[in-house]
Amino acid sequence: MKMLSFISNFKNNLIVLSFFSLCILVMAYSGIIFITNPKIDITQAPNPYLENTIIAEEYIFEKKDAPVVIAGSSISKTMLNEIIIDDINYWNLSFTASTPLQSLNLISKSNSNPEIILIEIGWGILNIADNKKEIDTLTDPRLYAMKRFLPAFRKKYQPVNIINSYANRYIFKYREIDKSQVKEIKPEPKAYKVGLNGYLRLSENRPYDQIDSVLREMRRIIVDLEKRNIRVLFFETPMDKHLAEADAILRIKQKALFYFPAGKYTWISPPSEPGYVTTDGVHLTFASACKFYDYLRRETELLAQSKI
Amino acid sequence: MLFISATFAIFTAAVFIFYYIPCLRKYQIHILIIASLLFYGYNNPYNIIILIISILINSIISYEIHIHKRYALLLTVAGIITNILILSFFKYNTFITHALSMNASIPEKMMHYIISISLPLGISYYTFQAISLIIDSYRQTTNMTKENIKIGGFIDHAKNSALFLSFFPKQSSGPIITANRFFPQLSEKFFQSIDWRSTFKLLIAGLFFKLVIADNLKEYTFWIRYPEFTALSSIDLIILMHAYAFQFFADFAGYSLIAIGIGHLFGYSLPMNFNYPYIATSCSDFWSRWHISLSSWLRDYLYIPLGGNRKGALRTGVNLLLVMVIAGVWHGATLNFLLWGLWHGIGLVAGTVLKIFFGPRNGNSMIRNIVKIFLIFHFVSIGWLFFKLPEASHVYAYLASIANNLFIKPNMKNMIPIFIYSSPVIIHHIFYYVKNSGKLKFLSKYDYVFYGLLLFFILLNKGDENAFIYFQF
Repeated sequence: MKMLSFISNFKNNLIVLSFFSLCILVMAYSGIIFITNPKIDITQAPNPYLENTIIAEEYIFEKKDAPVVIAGSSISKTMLNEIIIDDINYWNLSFTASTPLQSLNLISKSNSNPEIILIEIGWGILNIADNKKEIDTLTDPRLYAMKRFLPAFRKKYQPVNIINSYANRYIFKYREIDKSQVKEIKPEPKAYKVGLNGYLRLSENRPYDQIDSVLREMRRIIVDLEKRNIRVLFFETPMDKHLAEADAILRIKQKALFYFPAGKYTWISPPSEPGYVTTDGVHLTFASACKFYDYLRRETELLAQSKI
Repeated sequence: MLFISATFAIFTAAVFIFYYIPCLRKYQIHILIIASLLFYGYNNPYNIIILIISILINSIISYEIHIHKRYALLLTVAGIITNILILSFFKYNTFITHALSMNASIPEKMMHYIISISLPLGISYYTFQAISLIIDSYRQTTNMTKENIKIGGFIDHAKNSALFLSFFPKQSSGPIITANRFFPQLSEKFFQSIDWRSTFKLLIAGLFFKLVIADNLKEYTFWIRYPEFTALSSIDLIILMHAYAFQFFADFAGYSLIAIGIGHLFGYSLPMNFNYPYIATSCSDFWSRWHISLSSWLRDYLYIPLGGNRKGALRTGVNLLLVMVIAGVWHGATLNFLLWGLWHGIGLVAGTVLKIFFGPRNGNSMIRNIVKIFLIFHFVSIGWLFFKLPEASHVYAYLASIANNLFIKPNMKNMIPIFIYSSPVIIHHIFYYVKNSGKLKFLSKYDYVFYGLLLFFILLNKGDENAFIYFQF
């Protein structure tokens, strides 16, 4: 009785009333989300890490049936923009600061069965290998059920993200861009130099152990995925010529071909036409990303019809 | 074990249940000591050994100070030196080893071993508390007397000292509580005495500051890193500098509120660490509002014993500089922390000099206060760059980039979320004035709506969980 009586001793029952207010707020917010179904531009998330989670949740809850999935790092994420997002056959499951391993793990654990996975091989292999905690949270059955039935709990519907999305649309006048009107821009020289030097420094550190461990783990998952009749294709994005000749990238290619030999796996050859522009040596500009996406799509469709 | 982790919540709940079981009431101190040692050794069990050694040394010395009054001064000096040596060994091992290796030949194996010794969690905090135990025992400002210490005996004193030094809510990053404030609180605690209302408020406000504000702002201030920031526009750099000031406050104030709230759950009152620091109108005002438990410790155990402001203007200036440099080095053995201390020391000296030349101003002009708040906030924000960036040259590069990158286009995409996440900190500080005017008193009837809203944001808008910034010290 003593234990129970303390509840009634709260001055004004602040704790009970606060949790009651919370329940009302969550219900009201869920109701508003359900009724209004706000249009959130996931490519305009306020920061790359929130964007990562939104992309993953969007895949798990909305795009699990996409026939082609791109697994990559921020380098491939440049192809996730307001033009490409509406392509119903493709889902770009690329994550900033992660390797393609994170994407493959998510596909594997979420039990989705795309027909083809396009895997980026490049500088992204040197990112943080994978965030197991994040994948466990995303694929936790209880959290999955909660987010499925109460979308308000998805990162996409975070109150600040909604405000940000609407602000981008109405204050900063972000509009959907016509693909044919996209013009190439000159990268900011300072940012380009900083980025380029950063990758060259990374190469000087000779991160060979990371390359091996990531590719080995990727092979383990890919073997499992292949058992589910999922086909994998590898691709590289165009990059600055200094970086294309760097020690680390040559090592990555050599090791990738060792783990995924060209005879057994399909490699999409890099585009032969010049004119691709990057913002920092590896990340394609908006226009170049659109151009490369078109190329990747064309090649994928050709290869999808052929057999290895 | 992070305060914001599920493991910590389960751990605290289990300790709480055992603590208030009526038949275990006389073992409450034992329960808290065991829990504190478990908490302390959770990530690195070897830390427990160091903590136990510190507890033993300080219990023995403080006990002897009470018993053998003739040697009290000698024991006090020995106690302070021992504590400083222990702290220096762990905190400055890399720095000292490098310095020694330049002049003497130290075997390479030994050098690597010494450098590889990790910094035990919270050692800076419990060492300062241990020094307060020694000094307060010498000054006889605790409730301990020779008579009651003799009645309880050494074991009783060691038990009390162990809880004082290890109490888990304040173990990792304070607030620093002094012996004269903690020992009088040692008594049996009752479940019915818990102030649930204030505990709840502290915990929710702390979690909101940490999870919603600090952890979200962190995703933007991430870009304050060299050389990446050199490519950002001046506007972006200024906004990020402000964002880091807000993040730092939210992170540390959030941690402190949670620590104080957990202390309340076990019947202990820990000192408040923050009092609206960003409305400070001078550097000395800032230090009476920021990390109050550290600044009070430095004032009581260092600045005043050095002579404080009682020995002329020159000596006051030297004392201020010395105390702030020590405060800087207390955070870590890097040039940046030393410069940060010096930066604040210069600010304090400049404030004192201005006061001497212009005298204290009468009246309370609103515009003058706003200008002062603006200047001090920016002075402090520039100082935080020494915390965020690992090298002094990076701080210089950051400030140089602000001056040089005026023509780079700012990234508008970041502005709205940074503003939204910073606004609760700004509102919190504005609330100081509103609170004092009493105009919003009627709203206190509906405080449950406010706390419900904070819970709502904690649930739906928290950032990616991260360690507290102050855990590294």
